[in-house]
Amino acid sequence: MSNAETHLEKAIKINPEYADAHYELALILKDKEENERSKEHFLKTIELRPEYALAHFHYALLLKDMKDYKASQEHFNKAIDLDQHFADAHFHYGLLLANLEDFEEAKNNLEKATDIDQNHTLAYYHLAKLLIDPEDYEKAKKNYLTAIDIDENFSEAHYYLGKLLAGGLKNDKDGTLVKKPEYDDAIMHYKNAISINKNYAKAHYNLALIFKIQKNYDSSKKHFEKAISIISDYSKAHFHLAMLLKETGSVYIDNK
Amino acid sequence: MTNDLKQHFLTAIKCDPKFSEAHFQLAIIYNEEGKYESAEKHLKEARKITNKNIEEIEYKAELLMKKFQFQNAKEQYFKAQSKRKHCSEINYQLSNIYLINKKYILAQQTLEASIKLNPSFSKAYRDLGILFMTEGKHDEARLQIEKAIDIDYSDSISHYNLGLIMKRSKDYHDAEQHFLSALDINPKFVKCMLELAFLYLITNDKSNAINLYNKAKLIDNKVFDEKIEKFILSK
Repeated sequence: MSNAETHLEKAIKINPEYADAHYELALILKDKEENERSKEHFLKTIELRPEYALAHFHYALLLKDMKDYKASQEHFNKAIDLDQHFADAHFHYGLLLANLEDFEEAKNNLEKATDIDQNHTLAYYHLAKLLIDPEDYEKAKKNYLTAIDIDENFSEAHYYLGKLLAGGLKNDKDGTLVKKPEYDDAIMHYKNAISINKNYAKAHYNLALIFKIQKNYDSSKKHFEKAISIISDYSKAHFHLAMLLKETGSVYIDNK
Repeated sequence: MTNDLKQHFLTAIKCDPKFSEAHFQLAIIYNEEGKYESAEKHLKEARKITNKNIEEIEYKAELLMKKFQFQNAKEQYFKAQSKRKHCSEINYQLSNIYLINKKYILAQQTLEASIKLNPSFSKAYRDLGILFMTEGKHDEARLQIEKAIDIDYSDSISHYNLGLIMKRSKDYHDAEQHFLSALDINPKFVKCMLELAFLYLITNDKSNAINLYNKAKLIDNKVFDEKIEKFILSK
């Protein structure tokens, strides 16, 4: 038992109505993954201070970890009701809703988080990841770029932006579904992801795919091989490398 | 020399046994190597996986439709369509193996399945037509090969086979037209030259028959047709 935990328990023993002590102890127990004990202290905190937004928020996170999603939603909502400018509450509530496949509400909450905290990198990133409808192409791109603008070393944002640009599936001005890949920009973002994380196998693989399309076979081969050297059982990389070798006639087929 | 290509496909399957494309590509290699049993095994596996994929994608598309995500649903339907074409190609490759092994009923079934999955797959119609020809079902054969030509007019083999059917039914004018079309598409189609030369003998256009026969011999000096040779010698 940590010092802080001991002191907080003593404080609670002296004054069982000490809400802040219950709250702090609940946080410590949550970190230690003593979920049931943490839950007891959060409940006590909320009982003593029902208007405590932070307590509702952290309790909602605990309930999410405990897979009690319905109760978690209630407490996220309560935290947001109590503090309309609680960016993190909107953010985590958005992530929970996305897990529960309520994508529209998830997007609304993530967007709200970015409205409140315009430097909330993760909110921009996760919002962009949910904007998968071709009509949201530009919006998704903008959100990834904002996340990267705030944190240029955000390798995942570079990678997923690369994927979005390489796919290029969007709606034209008249609403027609079109596929206009932006390969040069995609290459740049995959390369950025790799320069941040040299062992980013998926970035190597996707970069190789673009090089293959562009008939830059040497570079394509190099990146497929790199992806395989990082993840030896990367099935798609093995397959596309084989296809590349077949198409370029770089291998001999044993006829025995 | 190592066989990198096969090894990569095998590794892809080892890592992901449900990788239909990898099974398909590996089957093509086995087919080229004459290992028909292995090719058949991998094609059947590819077919099983792809059929399941189609079902899953269509189910996903339906769910998206229910959620009013029409563009994403449309994308899924396109994906399912592309998988269907792939499955059609798998059935076609399987039919080739069955034909080689003289399993004609299975060949017919797989060709029909191939057409059902991709009704614009001209080669499947053509091969089904050729199969019917070997079984003596000439009317059905003609129907299938005509469909193949409707879809792909530039297929010399379809024209050649339709020419054979026409010749057999003594429709010499149409037969000539199809043989000529085949030669127009593939000017070095020796078998077609010989058939057309023989047709010219039947229709008494002897000089054209001899010219064409000599042309075929120039392309392939092993060419020998007893009937035409006899005719030339008798002159």
